Amino acid sequence: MAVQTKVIKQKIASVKNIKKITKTMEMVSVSKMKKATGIVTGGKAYSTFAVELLSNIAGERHISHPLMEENTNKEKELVIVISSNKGLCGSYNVNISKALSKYKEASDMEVECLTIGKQSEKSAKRNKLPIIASFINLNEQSRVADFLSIRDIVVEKFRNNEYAKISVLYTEFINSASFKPNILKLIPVQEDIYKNVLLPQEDERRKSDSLAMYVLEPSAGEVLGTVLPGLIAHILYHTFLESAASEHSARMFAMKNAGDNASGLLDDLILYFNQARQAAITQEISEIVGGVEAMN
Amino acid sequence: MSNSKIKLNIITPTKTAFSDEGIDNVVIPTTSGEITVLPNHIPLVSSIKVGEIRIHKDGQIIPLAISGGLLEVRKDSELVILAESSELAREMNVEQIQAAYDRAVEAMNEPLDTQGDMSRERSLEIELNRLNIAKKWR
Repeated sequence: MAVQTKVIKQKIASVKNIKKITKTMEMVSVSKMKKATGIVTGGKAYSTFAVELLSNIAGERHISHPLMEENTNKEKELVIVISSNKGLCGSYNVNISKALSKYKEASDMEVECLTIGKQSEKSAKRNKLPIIASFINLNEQSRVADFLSIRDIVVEKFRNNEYAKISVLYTEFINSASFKPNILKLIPVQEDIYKNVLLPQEDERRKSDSLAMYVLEPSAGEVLGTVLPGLIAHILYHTFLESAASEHSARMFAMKNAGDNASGLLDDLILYFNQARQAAITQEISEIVGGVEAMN
Repeated sequence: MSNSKIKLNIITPTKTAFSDEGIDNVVIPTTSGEITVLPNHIPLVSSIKVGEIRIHKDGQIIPLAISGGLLEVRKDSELVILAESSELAREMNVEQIQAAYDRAVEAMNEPLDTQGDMSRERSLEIELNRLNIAKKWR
């Protein structure tokens, strides 16, 4: 019997440890999520001005740019898959993988992937999709500059007519309790899509004077040529941060559940421990009593 | 209506780097040359290259480093600068920037990996600009 209490005691100790770890991970996730959402909020002003500039130039002047037009290539498309490097975040990565396989089936083109995060690399492999590049060094501390190389790759590939379109599969962060996988068309650039992603609330969009009276230097095309790549990088950064916020929020819930389960387990274990201890005492007493009786 | 002061906002993707309503004039490095924006400038949109912005306010000069972006002059002396990144010279830490510059130089000697040649040269240019400005206005 003494053996049993010892085993239960060890179990209690290890469950307590797990509970401590999950609690810590939960707190870390809360702070990381706050950080990511903080940056998203801080970028609102930039989004407002950049989107407005785009719609003013492209919408009112009817000036087009190669990045806004369809390619002649109709056979292949590229999906940029954003997910986490680490696991232990509930259904977050599974949802991305499912969304990817759904997208692959619905597409009438050959799908290739550019992955951000180790888990998206796995998702692409699971769906048997070719990976053209993989980035695993990005986190919520990354800056826009870190996304420029990804942007340069996709812009170049699009301009070389390698893909019909380029999309981003990311996790949309709605609030700290809800997030869902979403896919958005990155290139060719469509003003409405960008507006909806960067400024989901109508009242955030500023109404400004028409740009028709503006002088554009060196030329409207060249200004558009600066605005578009800037916006593409900004969208990549934005969707990455939303994904990161979702990841941390998912981990926060996963860890909270794990912590709650550990508490439940702990209660059960303590109950068993007390039962075993009581049984051992009862047995010992009856052994002594039995021994005394035998001596008499 | 005419204003004698410029209302300036410098916005980066992560935050508003500078915001003031009482600016006399601003010198900006555009891709077609350095320009000075005075109050009541005609509406203009232009792209900015890596360089130095000098804000003149009440006889003082406020220098900033900028790593490219766009400027938009609106009517009524409102100036918006969309910068990829921008920081005030007075908030710069020379040692930190020197270290960042050294890293950028080092990266030029490393074999090519996923980061393209373009981005390496670009980051070198950006860090050099920051370093120059930090030293100049120290």
